[in-house]
Amino acid sequence: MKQLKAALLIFVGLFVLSGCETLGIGGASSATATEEGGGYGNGSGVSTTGIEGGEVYTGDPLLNPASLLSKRVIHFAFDSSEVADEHLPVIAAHAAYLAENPSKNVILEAYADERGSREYNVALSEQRGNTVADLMRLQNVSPSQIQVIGYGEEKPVSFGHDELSWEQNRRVEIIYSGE
Amino acid sequence: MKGQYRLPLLLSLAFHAVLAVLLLANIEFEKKKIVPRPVPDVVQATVIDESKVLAELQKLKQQEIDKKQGEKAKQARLKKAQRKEEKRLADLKQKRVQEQKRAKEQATKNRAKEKAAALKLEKLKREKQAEKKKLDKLKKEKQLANQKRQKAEAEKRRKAEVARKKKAEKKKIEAEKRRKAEIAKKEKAEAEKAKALAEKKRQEKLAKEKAEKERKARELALKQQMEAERKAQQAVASFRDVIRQKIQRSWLKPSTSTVGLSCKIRVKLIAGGSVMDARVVKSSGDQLFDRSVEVAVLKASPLPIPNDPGLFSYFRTLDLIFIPKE
Amino acid sequence: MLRRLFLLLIFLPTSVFSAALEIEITEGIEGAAPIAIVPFGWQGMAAEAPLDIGAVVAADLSRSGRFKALPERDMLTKPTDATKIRFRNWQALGQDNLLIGQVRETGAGRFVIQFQLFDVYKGEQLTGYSMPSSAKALRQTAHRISDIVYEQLTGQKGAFSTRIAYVTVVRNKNSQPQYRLQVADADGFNPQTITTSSEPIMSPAWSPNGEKIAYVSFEGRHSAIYVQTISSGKRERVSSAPGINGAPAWSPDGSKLSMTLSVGGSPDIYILDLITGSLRQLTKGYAIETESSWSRDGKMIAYTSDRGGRPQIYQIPVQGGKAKRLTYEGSYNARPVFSPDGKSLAMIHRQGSAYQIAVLELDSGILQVLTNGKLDESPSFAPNGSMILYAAKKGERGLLAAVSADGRVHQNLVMKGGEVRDPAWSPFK
Repeated sequence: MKQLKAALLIFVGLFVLSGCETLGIGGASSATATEEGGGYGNGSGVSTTGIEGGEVYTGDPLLNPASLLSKRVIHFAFDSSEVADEHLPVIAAHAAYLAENPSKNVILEAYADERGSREYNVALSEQRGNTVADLMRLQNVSPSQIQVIGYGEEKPVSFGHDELSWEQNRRVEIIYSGE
Repeated sequence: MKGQYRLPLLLSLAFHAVLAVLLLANIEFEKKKIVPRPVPDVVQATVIDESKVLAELQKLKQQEIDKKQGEKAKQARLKKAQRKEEKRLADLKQKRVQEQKRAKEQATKNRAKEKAAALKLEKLKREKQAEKKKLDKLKKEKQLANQKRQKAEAEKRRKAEVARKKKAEKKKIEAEKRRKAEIAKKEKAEAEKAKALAEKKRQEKLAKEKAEKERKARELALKQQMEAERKAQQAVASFRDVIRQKIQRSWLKPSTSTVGLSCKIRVKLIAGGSVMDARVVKSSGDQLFDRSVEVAVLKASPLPIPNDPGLFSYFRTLDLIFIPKE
Repeated sequence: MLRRLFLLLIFLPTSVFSAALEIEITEGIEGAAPIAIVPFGWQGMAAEAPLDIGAVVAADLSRSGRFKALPERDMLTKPTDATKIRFRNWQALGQDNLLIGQVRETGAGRFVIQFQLFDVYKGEQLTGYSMPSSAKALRQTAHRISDIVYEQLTGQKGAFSTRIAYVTVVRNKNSQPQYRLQVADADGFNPQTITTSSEPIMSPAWSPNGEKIAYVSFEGRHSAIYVQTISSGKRERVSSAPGINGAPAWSPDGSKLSMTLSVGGSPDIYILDLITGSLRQLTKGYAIETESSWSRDGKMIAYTSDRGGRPQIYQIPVQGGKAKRLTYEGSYNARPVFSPDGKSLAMIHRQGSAYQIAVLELDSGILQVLTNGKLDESPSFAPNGSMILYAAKKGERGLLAAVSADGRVHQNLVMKGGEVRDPAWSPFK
């Protein structure tokens, strides 16, 4: 995990220094993503596929499938609003992007699994959203750029009544306004 | 002959000895009265005494001359005494002669006197004999009369005695009779008393026996009853359980809380166990509870009861107490 | 020995010689009382009555769990007139009670419904009424009959003519899901949608007079609390603070609404005065504090808090003060709701991996789990306290279920349409 944090910091630093629309960086990031892909891509519901070889991405970095910015979902443990270390790079990437683009706003849609009471789950999910928002604000994102909505157990992405589904439903979705 | 003189001799000696002592002790004998004795032996004794006294006097004289020549007063006195004594002896000699004379006269007198006395005695003797004869005769007569009188008196006494005895006898008999009657009466009373007592005792005993018998009978009956009850109770208990089970199966408890509720319902059964009447006698205060109880009883009808008519009597009326535990 | 016998005899009479043998009954059976509900007779123009009143009543009573209606096919006779009843027959069928009735058409769309309830064993009438009804109100009239019968036989006011509110979700493959706030009869019939949204609708709460429903709507991607008048459909947004606006709960007098707001940073209980519009924060701190419920006397509020790390039930005076923890059993207790008599709290209780409905008896502290589902939630008491309506999940669908307050009787409310959730039972009218 410490290695990951170190990698994240290095990555964020590079990202900030080079700017988001730099082509060279895009290649670098994709390389990093590819490198890391096997490590934490599993089970997150988000896979990092699409970049083969050293091709250069020229579009919106938010849409760059090789970018961490393409990862929009943070998952949580049961009855917890702690962000696991593995998700910190994703949050950092978005934070960096937002800090760099003050005109951009995000809505953090927070969710819980179906277990337990609805309103408690609303509160719990909001805490998850707030955790992510706090992390972003710590990285110089303006509070006005972030809106959190706790939906609780509404809008599940998986309808099963099992741990696999619940894991997917315990989440914060990062949604850029206008998307 | 020797025996004839022994006593006077001794008397004479004793007389002279006394004279000597009297002379020596200078004791006056004049006043002493000498009882004269009619016995003649006394004269002889006096003779002997004189010589002896003289001898004694001589002797004394001698002794006095030999031994006490010096004492003139004494000798004089002795001489005076001797003269006196000599005079006295002379007097005495004279006296004795007189006495002898008097004794002789007396002896003569005595002999005459004795002769007259003997005559007089003879006469007296004869008189006495006559008197005696007379007396004997009188005595005899008196004796006869006495005998006669005594006989009559004896007879009289005897007769009186007989009469008395007869009377006494009669009295005694009567007394005896009375006594016997008394005894008989007493005995009779006692016997009656005893009889009454015995009767009483007998009655008491009978009563006691009767009571005991009755008690035993009662006890037996009681025991039998107890035994019957026990058996009945056993049967009753088992049927009671069966009834309880059936009713519990049919009692749908109200869904509302029944805590603290209880209801008593009196159930009347007919043979076969059918419920004829079920009436709440002690309400729980909760209408629904009471109704659930009534329905339970009616629903459980007929209740399982024994076929034995004797046992059925126990089940004719039942008090069912519904008291849910919780 | 003899003396002992006598002593014994002295004491025996009470049991032996007394006229009545005493038997103590300490146990009975629990369950549904058998009742025969004969199809109501019909006198009218049409071939048959517009509504099978008897069937509605039978369904109501059966659903309560307190009664078991005799199936029509098992009836030997179907009297509609008291003079035709032979109680022995019904006794033979093991029925405790018998309900007969008739529906007479008295004019165009006008009816008179007459019914009589009998005690089969005593052979006597317990109650009977004659009620006029419009064609539209026939079903409601049937529920009223159920209420009368229920109250006569259980001693409790019936809640069959009350209503329930709930949320349905219909998901279509090619379009957004449809969230609907609906109100229906207590038996689930006559559902009427009062609000529709493409965003979630949550936590409907009946006003104490039964005229309004407060609820949470996420329309516009933002939660807000609305109070809507059922009859007119008019609604008012009473809270739309930043963050959470959730879990509305009416004070017993209907003048206030407690709710959960996170405007202060973390979710806390607030009390909104509906008359003055003033808002007061009741709980404070960093923990989650939500799902408030008013005690019957309006003096206390029970709620969920995870201040101890895990969600548990606490209680706090409405005027503010020290919170008191009420649940200690289990690692998850949430969504408390006071029973109508105020003596207990229903809640969600986790047992193992299952989330079930439990009732905490406040005096004794005894917690009784009533349901046996895996994902049971949103308990709501019937206004007579006899049942708890809750949401359960079966397969991928959510449905409504009911359990008697003692946990004895379980019922699923079968409803048409999609997933059903968040039920709320109305008060008495």
